[in-house]
Amino acid sequence: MSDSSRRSWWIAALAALALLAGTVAAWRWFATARPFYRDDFAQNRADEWHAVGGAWRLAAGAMHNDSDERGAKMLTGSYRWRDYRLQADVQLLGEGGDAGVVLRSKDEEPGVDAYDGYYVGVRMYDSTLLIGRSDHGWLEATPVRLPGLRSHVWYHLDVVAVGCSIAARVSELGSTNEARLFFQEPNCVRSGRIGLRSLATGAAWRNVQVKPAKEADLVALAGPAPTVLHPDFPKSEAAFNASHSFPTFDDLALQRRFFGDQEPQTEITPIASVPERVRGREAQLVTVRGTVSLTSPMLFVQDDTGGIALPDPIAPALNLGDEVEATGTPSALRDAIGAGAMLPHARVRLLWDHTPAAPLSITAGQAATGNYDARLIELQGELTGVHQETGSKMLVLELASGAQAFRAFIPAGQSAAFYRRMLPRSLLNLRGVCTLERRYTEGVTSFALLLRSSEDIDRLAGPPWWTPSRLAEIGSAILLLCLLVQYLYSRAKQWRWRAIVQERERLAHELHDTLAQSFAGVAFQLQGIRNGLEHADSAGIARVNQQIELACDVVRQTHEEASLSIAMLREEWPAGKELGSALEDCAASIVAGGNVRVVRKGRGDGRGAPAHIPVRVADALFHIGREAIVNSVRHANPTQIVLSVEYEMKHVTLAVADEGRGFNPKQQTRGFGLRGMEKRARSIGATLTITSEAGKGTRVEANAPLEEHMSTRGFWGTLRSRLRQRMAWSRNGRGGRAQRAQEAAVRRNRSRAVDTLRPSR
Amino acid sequence: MRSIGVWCWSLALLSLDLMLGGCSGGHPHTIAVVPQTTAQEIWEAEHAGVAKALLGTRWKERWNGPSSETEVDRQIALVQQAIRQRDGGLILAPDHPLALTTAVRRAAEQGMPVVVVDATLNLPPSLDVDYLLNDEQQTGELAADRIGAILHGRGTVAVLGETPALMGTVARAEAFRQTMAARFPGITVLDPLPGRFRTNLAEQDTEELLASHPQLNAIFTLTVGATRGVYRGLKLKQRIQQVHLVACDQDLDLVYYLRLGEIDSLVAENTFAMGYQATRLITEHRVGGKVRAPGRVLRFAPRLVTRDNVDTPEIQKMLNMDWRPTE
Repeated sequence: MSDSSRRSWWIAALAALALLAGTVAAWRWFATARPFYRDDFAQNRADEWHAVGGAWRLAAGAMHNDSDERGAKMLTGSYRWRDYRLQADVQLLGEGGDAGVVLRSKDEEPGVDAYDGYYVGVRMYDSTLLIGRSDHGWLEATPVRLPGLRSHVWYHLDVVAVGCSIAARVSELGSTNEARLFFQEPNCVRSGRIGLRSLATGAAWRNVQVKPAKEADLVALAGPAPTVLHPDFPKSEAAFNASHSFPTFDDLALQRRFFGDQEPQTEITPIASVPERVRGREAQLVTVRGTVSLTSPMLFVQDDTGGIALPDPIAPALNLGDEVEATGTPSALRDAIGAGAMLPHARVRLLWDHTPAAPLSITAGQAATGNYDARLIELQGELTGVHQETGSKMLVLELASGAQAFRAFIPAGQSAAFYRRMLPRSLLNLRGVCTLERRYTEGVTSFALLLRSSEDIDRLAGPPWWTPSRLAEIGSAILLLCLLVQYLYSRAKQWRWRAIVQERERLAHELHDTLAQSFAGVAFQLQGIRNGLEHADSAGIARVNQQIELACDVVRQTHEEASLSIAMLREEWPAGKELGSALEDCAASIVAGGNVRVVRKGRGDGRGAPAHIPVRVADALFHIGREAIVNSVRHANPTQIVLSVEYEMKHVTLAVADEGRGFNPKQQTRGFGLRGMEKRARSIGATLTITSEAGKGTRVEANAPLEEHMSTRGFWGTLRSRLRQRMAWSRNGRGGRAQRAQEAAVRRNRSRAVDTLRPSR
Repeated sequence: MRSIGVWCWSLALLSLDLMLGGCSGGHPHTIAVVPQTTAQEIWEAEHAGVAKALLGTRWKERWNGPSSETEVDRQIALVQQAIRQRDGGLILAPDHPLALTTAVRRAAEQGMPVVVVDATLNLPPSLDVDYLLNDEQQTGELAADRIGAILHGRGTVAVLGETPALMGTVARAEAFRQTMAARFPGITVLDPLPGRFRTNLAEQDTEELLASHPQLNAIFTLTVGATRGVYRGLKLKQRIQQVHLVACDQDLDLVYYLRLGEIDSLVAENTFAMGYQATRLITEHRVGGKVRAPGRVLRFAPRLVTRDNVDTPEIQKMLNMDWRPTE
């Protein structure tokens, strides 16, 4: 395969790749613009969701947030989704706060209202359906009452956003209890992702669906919504408190819901003091207060002094961050060494929803002392292995940090993305409750961590890159690269040598055709002179003088030819100069001092400035023209050489003609100069025609196609043209039909004309 | 061919320019505003003040804070984000006087004007660091005067919510005790319960106080969390009508309870004015050629909010939470 055709294939392959990439990008662009989603929570999959805060897990076909964190959210979808209908079932898992869905969300960050979009949800404390605009601040519309809103009950949320209007309906599943609203904002957010969000309560979501919506869907859903709502509150305190209410704890039932109906049976004991109640005394009832730090697989509570496990509690559903009071009889930790205690079968009452406590940052060595038993801690470790605990739904991470080894337990059923991140030797930052229980340590580690969700794991660094397999891969890559470089270097060297050899061959031909033959002629003349001197008479002297004269002519001619050859080796086409002028100057320098006249014709330029001719084409035509001029001067003995360069819209024609002696094409063989001109013509896709007849002069004509100028058709047009030209060159390459046709044309022309270079003798 | 080359070079230079611009330009006309928490409306008033000051200018604010005032790490992360993004200024209401010091110092070292509002830091004022603080002395005095007035100079009062980590609470409590001792010697101030400012602990303290001091006449709370805990404790013990509750700082639910007559009064911080003034300081700081005054410490007077004056324009302006003002 020739170089040009190889280049063409490369260009074609790159163009195909670019086309493929463009198609994929366009497909993704259009695919992501169409709002469509249906959850896979029932299949335990949620890879496409991105959590911002909270403690999220999949359980029983629903996505749960077990945290009371304010503004915990989980997002999915495209920022380009515009008008859509979002449906979801939502369940509040706490006695305060609110939970719902986010629409048209952008610019999300951790924080209470740290996103730009809309939120529609159900709120417990005033039993309402609420809607508002969030832009790292919160503006709420007047909420709509939903009587009898309760926790642990599924509600169906149906929201349609079209243009700057949003309609929403919430209905209690299995009941006719429902509320609707219709909301508008003048300068609205018109597109964005969807999300699940809760504030100051745990919550669960399932059956999340998104599909495109139209105006009719909006109108149908708004239905009997009472008024059009706007983002109005809270702007002024007076207006807000005139239309909103807060719990005053006057309602006995409400009090019981919040606080239970039992007074503390004993005085409150700091949690750090509970182990002292176990040692050397009769079992006695204690009451502790604290914040829930873990709900599964066991309830843990901590206060400012310490933490404690509450196995098998008698408790309402609790979330992380709930403040609770627990009363029970403490006991020592099961099978654990140390002074830890737990409070089994405790009666737990919910006091307040609160933000989850922040973990204590400690080292594994500190955790191994046992002083942080049942406390929420944060530490770092290197992952050594991952496996599922036999007979349970817990995933076990084996970790090491310094001299300590420990385990971390997390609910199984994590997303595939989670497993992809958990590569051995990764450096992890973990947050969880420290436990000394043998059930988790199995006696092989000094402590274990119980994590709340996969959000409690941050991968600080992946496995070190210098693993044996990675080193082998890198070594192989370097070896391949070296081989490639060596191959390219050898090819370059080969190309260079080939060019040198070709040039040497050309010089050899040149020397043979000029100097060697001239010297042979001089030698022949000198031989004749020597022979003539042996029989010198007056006639002989005259003949010798004639022969000396001839020899001088031959030497002079040889000197001129040598000068021309040197000039040809030195001369290059002067870039930036018009082709005809350049050739005219070249011809003038060649015929300088002689009787040959150079005439320039045909300055016409049909396309404007002749400088638009591509450099590559001009260079090839210049060399063809110069060769023709030199040949004419050398062999045709002309009195006049006529140069013409005709510029047309799509091609340029160069002609060099003389009225010299001409030659008979049938009697001439093909010389090196003709081959050079043919080769140059072929390289630019030009046709070369040489017309000559004995006594009637010679005409060399090269017709080269022109590329359209880039400015007249733009980048893509130019690229398309270049590709077409490359493909044409490929077809015209060695063995190509066009090339064969061109060669046939040259052969036909040669029947009338031949190269005017000196034929081989 | 030459034209294609020119095109390619132009595109490359444009990309480079955009890349460098994105890396080095930052957000010179963005002010990062980091409140103690975004979960309390007292800071929405600061937000409103900032928005009001930016109205009609080319500046904009980026408002975000921790979801709880205990999330110091989150606050530090937000300050670092402002430094990283080369924001034009930082307004910070610190959650901790020590933990935020390094982050603020780094911001100032990079030439970012910083205004610390509400509570002080362990960092002296400088060319790039100003302080706009609540007048804690006056807060204590206002509360003492109010309780002295409603108790007519006789009775027993407790102070809840004092914690050494929040220097403002210590200053308020100290001012309260000094004023009581000086102006109302007939009123007994119970010994403080240190480090108990969270809601559940304040509720627990309230129950214990009511049990140990049945004659308790009033409680002065120093933080919003402590006020909520005391309110709940008084409600559950059905002593809300007997024990007068005077609280520091405002929030929508607390003003709601004040309107119901269950909370006697609130000593409200003027966070709206702090946000407004802080924004003006930063935008003026950035005006070229203007000679900067050395770091300033300005104190904003609090106001006592009662049922009688809560609807006055002056108080409502302090409680303004409109962070999208139109005029």
